[in-house]
Amino acid sequence: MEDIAEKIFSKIDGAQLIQVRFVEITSENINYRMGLPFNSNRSFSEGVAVRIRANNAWGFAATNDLSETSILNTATQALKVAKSSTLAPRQKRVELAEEPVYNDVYSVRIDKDPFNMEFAEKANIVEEANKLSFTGADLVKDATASYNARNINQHLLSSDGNNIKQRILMIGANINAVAVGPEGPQNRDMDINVTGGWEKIEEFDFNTQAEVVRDESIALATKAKRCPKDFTGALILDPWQLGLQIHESTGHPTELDRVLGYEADFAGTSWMTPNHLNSLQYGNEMVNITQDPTIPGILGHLKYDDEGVLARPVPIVKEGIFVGYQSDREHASILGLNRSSGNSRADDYNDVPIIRMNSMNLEAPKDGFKNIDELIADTKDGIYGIRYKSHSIDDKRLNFQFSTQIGYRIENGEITDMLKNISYQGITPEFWNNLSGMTREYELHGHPNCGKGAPNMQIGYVTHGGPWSRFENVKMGIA
Amino acid sequence: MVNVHEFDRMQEKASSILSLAKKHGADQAEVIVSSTENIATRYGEGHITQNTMRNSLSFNLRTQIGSQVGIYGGTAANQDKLDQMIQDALMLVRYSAPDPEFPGFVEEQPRYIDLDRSIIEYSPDDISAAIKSVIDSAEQADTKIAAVAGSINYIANRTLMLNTFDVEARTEGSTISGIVNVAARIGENESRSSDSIAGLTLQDLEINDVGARVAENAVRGLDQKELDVGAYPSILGHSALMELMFHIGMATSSSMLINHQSPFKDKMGEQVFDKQISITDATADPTHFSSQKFDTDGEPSPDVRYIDQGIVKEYSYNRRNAKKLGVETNGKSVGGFAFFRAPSFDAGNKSEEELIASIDNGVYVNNLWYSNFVNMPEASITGLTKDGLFKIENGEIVGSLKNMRFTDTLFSIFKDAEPANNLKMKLHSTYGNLIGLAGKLPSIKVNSFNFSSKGKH
Repeated sequence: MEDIAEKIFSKIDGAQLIQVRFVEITSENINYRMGLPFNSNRSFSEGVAVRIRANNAWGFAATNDLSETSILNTATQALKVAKSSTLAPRQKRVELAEEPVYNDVYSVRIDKDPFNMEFAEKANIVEEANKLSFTGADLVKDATASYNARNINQHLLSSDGNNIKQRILMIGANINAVAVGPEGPQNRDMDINVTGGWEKIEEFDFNTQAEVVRDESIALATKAKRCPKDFTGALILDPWQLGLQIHESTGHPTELDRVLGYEADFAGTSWMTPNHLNSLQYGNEMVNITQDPTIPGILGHLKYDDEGVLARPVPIVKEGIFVGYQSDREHASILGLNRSSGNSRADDYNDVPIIRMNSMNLEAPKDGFKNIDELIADTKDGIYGIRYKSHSIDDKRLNFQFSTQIGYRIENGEITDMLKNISYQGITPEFWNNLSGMTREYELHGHPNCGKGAPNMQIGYVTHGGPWSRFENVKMGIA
Repeated sequence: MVNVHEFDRMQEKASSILSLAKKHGADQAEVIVSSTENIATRYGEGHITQNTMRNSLSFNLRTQIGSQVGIYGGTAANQDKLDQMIQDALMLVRYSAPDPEFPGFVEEQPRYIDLDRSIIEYSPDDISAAIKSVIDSAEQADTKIAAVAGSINYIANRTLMLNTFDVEARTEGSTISGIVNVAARIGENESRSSDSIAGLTLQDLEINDVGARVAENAVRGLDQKELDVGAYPSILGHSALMELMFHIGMATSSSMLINHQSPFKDKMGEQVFDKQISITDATADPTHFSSQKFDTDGEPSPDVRYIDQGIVKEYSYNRRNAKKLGVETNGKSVGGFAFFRAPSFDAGNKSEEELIASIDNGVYVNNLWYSNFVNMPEASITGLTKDGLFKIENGEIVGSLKNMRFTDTLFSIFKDAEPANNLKMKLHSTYGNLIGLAGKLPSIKVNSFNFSSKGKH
């Protein structure tokens, strides 16, 4: 691949920067529903993208015809596309934020490569868990289990000297049960989404999770009370739901492309504008939120982004103050930042890199409550919400309404009732300024389904989480 | 009208894949080969920010050995690599458990509807020049215009389906679509408006008018007042209605019947909406942006009436769901899911202006954003207004409003509703480009739309 890239670099005249990205993706999904296989699949794709910066604009072209002639033609197309961009040009010249070049080979840690295992061994484990989630449980009317793996081999070469090979293996599993009770169906699911090998699926303990979703879906459908209507009080979020809260109300509004108006047509804009940087009281002093894709084993972990920027921790909120954005080299430069935060990612070879979250988490305090039991014992009147069910937030990321799959009523420090259909609504800075307690224990969870990018939407693979966290004066029981 | 040369290349690839599948042990197999050229150009703050051109040749193969089945997707490859890929596909089948719900492949050559669509070619320069026109017309519309953003997406696709029963289908066509979003600003006060554009040619998009039209609406949206929380008679504009169509698509999906989530489950033949609402999946309409000749099962994809005068008449099926539920498929397979493709409302008799004139105290909603089911079996939905919310008093639009969150149910929203006579093709704001979902829709008056909390902008 180096040879072809060198030919591109020497052939293309007038480019400020050329990035050539070869990508090979192998994926596998094994699915069971009510004990039967359905739509299990494998895929293999490979292709090359050429991204050229010329005349203060970008051009991008991609193909999956990997003949040398086709790749060289693709590079020529990319230059033509860059030139066509000048028909509606940016007036102010932008130099990309500086970044050293790297020559490196990196792979996530993989103890047991799922693509080297017998297919039947994996399928049997998915099937067993699926059957466990409904067998003997007459009220469970629909149950699914799935495993997926996505292996990405990527080779980034650039005209300024990058030569970076990365292997990212994402692996995940999901188990879901729908029980139907007198008041209708209730759904409960659990999943794992990480980087690494089959050892992570073994840690997930599929069968135990199957029992959890079976028993809790039945309990939700038969015993759980509806969330009290128009209830205002304390809300404790587990790390799953906290992750969604961070994703929607911290992650997206700090993406610099949308802040600067370049996502206005699709994802929206942001209320966290540059005049607020280093001064906005985003949350109270307990709130510390950091982006960190260097954590091994999490979904979103990588060593370099798709522009060759080295991954590193970046504070986003520090002691409640908004201090950082997620950026790529171009947008960092527009704002006058010295360096990209390393968030430039493309989903596949034929996707253009855009600013994507990777891992963003609320930091657990050293002096917090020991665990969820202590946090509940300290809560007089509230609700404990677990794992996401539904989410909605406005295009500036201020007004949100989320709901959780399951929850519990807390009265005088004790759990009294199981609750279903828990919804809560709030305004982002008011919510984060009402954080009143966190545990020292924390969890991080992968979320493999963030949609962004237009007109061709890309999927983002991210991790979020933190401690079990309590927020005061939250409006619940909306719907 | 079809490009014979390109289809010959695809036919050769498809035949080769099926031969390899047979060679490696498949009893039966079916392959869909897709050749796509895509120009996707995006702009923001008045200039082009992303400009991409993509060419791909890919395939999706389903193979069967006895009652074992598997699915394999791949990209273009040389013969050696293709051989490895097909071996891998058959390995997947061989080690899979029997699948008694697999419905098999289409065994007899169906009569497909001829959409008579062809590919109209555009270059990156054509798309960029169109964007320049949109930006210029928006910026020149008013001195208060502060920013213009959007995208144009051109897709030219040829698809060929072939299976070992010698069933074959070909289709080709191109579509072009986009979003225009314009910000108007006076000091700290900002207003945005947007519109989607979707058609088969650049001319369909009314490129020379759309920028100015959206810009005028953005200016009209300045100086927003607050609205009190509560339910109001409302006019949902075309884009707002299109946002809700996704949820109706989920409600009518047989996939959602099987997992017990559809709010229309056990409601066949029941009146769920106002009798003035009728919705058809107009996949056989060649002028519809989202028309299709056959679905991903290779089944013909005819028009289907889902809601007739407010009554549930049909769900969307693929072959697998149809077999499981004991009915015939109606050709609505999208991968492993069943979903409508080209929703079309029946037009009403009144103009939008007449409907506005019939409201004493209400709201005009241009678009909705990030709407999701709160609890799907109950049809409860929440989301926000976006890009234009206006107060209606005594039959007239009298001013702009700050955005609001709505929380309501599909049943309640469409219980008492009247469509206008102004059908337009609109792309779904969120999923339109992802799954090619566009609808031919009117704006619609709904007697009650519940605004549950105030937005902050």
